[in-house]
Amino acid sequence: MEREKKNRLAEAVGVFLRSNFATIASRVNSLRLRPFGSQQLEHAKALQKKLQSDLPISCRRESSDADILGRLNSLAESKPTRDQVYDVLSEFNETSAASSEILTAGWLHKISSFEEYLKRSFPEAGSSRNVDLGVYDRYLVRVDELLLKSLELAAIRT
Amino acid sequence: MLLSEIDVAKRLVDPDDNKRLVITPIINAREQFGPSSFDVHLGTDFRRLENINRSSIILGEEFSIEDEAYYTKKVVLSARHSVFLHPGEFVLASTLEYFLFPDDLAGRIEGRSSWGRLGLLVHATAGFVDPGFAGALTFELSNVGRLPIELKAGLRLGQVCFFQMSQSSLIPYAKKHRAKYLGAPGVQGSRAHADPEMKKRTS
Repeated sequence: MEREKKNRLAEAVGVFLRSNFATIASRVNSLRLRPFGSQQLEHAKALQKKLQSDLPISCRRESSDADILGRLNSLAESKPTRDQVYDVLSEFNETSAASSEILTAGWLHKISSFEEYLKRSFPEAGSSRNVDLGVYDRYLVRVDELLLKSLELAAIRT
Repeated sequence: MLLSEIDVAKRLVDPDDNKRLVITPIINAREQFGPSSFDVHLGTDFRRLENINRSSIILGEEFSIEDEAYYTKKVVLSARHSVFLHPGEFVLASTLEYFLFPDDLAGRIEGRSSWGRLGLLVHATAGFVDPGFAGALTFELSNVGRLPIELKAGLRLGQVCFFQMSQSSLIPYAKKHRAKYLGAPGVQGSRAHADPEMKKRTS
């Protein structure tokens, strides 16, 4: 009964947070970093996925893995010129992310993942497990470390 | 087996997560891909060994000091600033690129000839990258020339080559006991004090 109540609450909180993408975007926008619209939000969502993989997010690639792999495989089937090879390799170039996109990606990531780490830090009622704040501490430090590095690197490139 | 540029490129988009190599950011692939290597840039932060508050590196009590700030000075560069590496000086720096090696690829970081001709060495001894490693790679920069060298973030200082292992490692770096330098997005000082033989010396 208690667990069901908890799950319902978690679901309601999730719905509330997901429906607030626009609010988050507008708060970031109020920092006057750069105009922030729906396109930047899409970029931020793409960066969020990268952050989930524990990677810095100073940039994002436009071309998909499948497209590039297809083009690389087709090179092997022909005798390509130097320019044709470079043309395919250039697909790996990544576009610098705006600071606002990096910050938004960070917020989106925290919103979507902090609950999991809180659950790992605090035992459920009745559990014999001790509170382990170190789990939550390491999570926060790591995310902030990646975000700070991403902002630094993006500034170098822009 | 040393990987060719096309093999490296294929690893970057390998559909199998266990085989995929990650390098990010890739700023200018045309300039960075070499026939058998991938050029890497200088990152934003440096650590200079300080000698003002220590007389020498002595095994034992000095390495037991875990406060990195005590024996190194961190410098973070913005896009507009540069640092000068004077003859005989040694600093730690890192690649701008963050790497994630799969369990069946190892790597080596090397300098580039253009910088070597000016007397800049990019690693003192630790140029090898284990399979399973994640993080920025460390530059151990020293100037063995006779003139100071100006350095700024974003310079293409080194190159990394990749080796296919005879089989995937069963204890890749990420799963290794005491993976001291895993996941760092920037420069990290020595963690020699964490080695078990060093702890024995201090006890």
